[in-house]
Amino acid sequence: MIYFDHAASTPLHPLALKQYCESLATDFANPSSAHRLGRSLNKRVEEVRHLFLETVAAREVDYDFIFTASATEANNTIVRWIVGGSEGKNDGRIYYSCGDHPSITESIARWGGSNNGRCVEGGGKLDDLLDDLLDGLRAVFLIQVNNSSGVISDVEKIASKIKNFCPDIYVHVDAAQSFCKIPLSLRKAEIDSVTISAQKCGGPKGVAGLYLKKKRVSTFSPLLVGGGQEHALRASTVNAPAIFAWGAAVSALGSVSELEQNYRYVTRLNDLLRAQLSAKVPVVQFPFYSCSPYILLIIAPKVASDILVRHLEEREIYVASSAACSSRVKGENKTFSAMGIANSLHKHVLRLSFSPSNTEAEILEFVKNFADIYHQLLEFT
Amino acid sequence: MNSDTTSQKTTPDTTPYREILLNIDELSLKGANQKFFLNKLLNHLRALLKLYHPYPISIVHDHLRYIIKSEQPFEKDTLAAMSRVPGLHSFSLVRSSLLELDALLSAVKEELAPLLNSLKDDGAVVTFKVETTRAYKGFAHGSYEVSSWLGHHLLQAFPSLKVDVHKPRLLIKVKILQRQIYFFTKTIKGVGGIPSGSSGDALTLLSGGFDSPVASYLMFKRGLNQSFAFFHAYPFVGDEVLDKVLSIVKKLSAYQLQTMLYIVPFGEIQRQIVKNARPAYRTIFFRRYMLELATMLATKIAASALITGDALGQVASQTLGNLALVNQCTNMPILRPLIGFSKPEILELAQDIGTYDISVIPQDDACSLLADKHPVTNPYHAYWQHFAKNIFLQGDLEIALKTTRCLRVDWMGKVAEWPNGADERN
Repeated sequence: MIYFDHAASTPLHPLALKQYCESLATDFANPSSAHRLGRSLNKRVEEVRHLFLETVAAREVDYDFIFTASATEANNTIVRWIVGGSEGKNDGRIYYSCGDHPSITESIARWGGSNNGRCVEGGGKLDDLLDDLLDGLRAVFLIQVNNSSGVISDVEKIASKIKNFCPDIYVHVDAAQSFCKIPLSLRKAEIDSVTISAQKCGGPKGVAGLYLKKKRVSTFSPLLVGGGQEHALRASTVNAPAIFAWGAAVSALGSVSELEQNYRYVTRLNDLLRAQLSAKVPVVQFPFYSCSPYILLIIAPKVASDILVRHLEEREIYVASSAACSSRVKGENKTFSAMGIANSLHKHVLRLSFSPSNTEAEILEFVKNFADIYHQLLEFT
Repeated sequence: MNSDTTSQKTTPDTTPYREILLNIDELSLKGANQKFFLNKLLNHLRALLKLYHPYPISIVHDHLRYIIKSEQPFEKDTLAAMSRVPGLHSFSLVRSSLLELDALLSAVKEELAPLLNSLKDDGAVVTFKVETTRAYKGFAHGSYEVSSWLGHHLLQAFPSLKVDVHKPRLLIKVKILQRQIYFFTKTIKGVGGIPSGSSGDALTLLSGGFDSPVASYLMFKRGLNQSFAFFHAYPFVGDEVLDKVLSIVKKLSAYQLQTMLYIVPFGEIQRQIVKNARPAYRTIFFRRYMLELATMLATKIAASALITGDALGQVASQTLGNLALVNQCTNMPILRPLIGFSKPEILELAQDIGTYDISVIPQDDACSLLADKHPVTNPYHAYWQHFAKNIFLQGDLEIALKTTRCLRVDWMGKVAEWPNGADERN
């Protein structure tokens, strides 16, 4: 099997798997319990929390880190609080891109009522547009690595720019696709909150995290209230086994050296695929450059992407697409439009995504099969 | 299910009726075979009632009419299911009385009272008419006499009633049979035709489109038990179309006791055809091999005819030339009940039988990638023969049949995987 859909979900890191299995058996108590079993779990959760803060160089005096059940929950929490309420500079506009993950765009649509000012939609790179928009902005939602295109935004630089202009403007970063892959530092404490996801970096599903600047906590409006867990910021029984598993993954992947080594390796894979595919199937388009090497979006003209996905899956090769092939479904994809892809090509988009577990042999095998399938199908048209 | 046996209370889903008078279609045409058809219909009804109405029932025969009687009132679901039983022209929700006028009157008054109360809320006067038929000629009074007598006494009993013999609001029909008198105001239309299975077994070629489900319905009316074959063109189409087809089969499964759906993998065969055939001939070659496979399958499951949704001239593959050629691929009769229908007529029927809303869902069963822009309408016979002789697809056909998936759908729409369904069943 060749699995190139790591951006959707990636297998558990072996250390995470080991930890998870052990914890499921032994770490069953509730970390909020008053007795020793609970307290010892709670202590270990705190240790994992420190690890996460260290991984992004966030100082404990500046940031809180809370565990949530998913990145979508973390994003929803921030959006609901900021957009639905009055945090950040009052009566200002909210900047985000339509190409962002739906947990941002949909929740903003849902809670960004008319009293919160107009939401500015933008495509392409945020940096260029920002100058015109800074005046009157209330909050900015950034995505460090776009989950479809792989395009990287220099969030630290942008956050600096925004804060220099007006420190009240709220800055949120979705780092679900970049955590443990692209360097991120919260040392300067300019970013107000960051979302990360376990299942995108070798951890289990069902746990994710949110960094939150301590200065903002006083006005924070929790999504979930109840037992006061996570410093009363997110009530729910803390998922100790999943947290420990994720912690095991991050201690393996989160160090700077590990990150850089993996980055270089995956860049080689990505470059190899681009080169080989361009050679064997020259019509395939690569619309984005300067992207995270972990994500590669390609456009295969003339053949619908879901037919390609099905032919590939027959050979046990798995990639992502989002088009539904039907002559009757119009198929305009808002995310793709925001990224500047022509409507006529929306049904021809494939996303490949990698992990350090992929090999060069897999890349070559993929290209061989893809070329084979593509040319065969091209003959049919 | 309403399990309260003693109280008269009805829930919104129960009707107050415990007796149903059946109007059986075409019975008079059957002559010596009457018993055969009757038995088929009554057995179908018995099985249906066992499922929907699990209380003791009796099917009473009175002067050539059949009445179903039960202690428990019938639910709306049961009546809906009965309306899909082929062979039943219609059925009436009746009340019975003894064979005397006074008994009839009091029964009618009892039935009408709550009815009138609900109708009276309009404030207006309720018009009515009594129509009597006397199947049992031995009854003391004539039909007209009964109608006038009853009408007269009803006018006295209910001041809000007024007679209107042209367009009455309430039409009270009275049927005088040999053992009892039956009267009713409600008749529910059924499917009509002849009972399920009385004409034998057929295999219906189902796509996800509007036509084939309607064709299937029309053949249910003629008493054919049907199994369904769907040709799944994976990987050119996805698996979502299977959900659509299954929904259609569930709707159609209401017309018979048990339904089998055969999902035949067709992707590889399509690939071979596309590789080897002239593009304009792709579609009719697909049709050809579908029919060959259908014939092989039908033989295995002991069906004696194929049913398709072809209508003449609707699409390119349905010209006389194409249809004639395709007919040659099989020696089984191909029944095409829609051959003379126009598209609007088909769509209307699809609405009536409830398959329109499913067929309209945009999940293609055929991949537009493979369709040629100019499919041949008048095929060149020599090429047709040449292709069949020289491109050997027999192996692919056999593999397709071997890997056919079989699902069984029961009357209530429950689906079960049926391994070995496509095996010899002679």
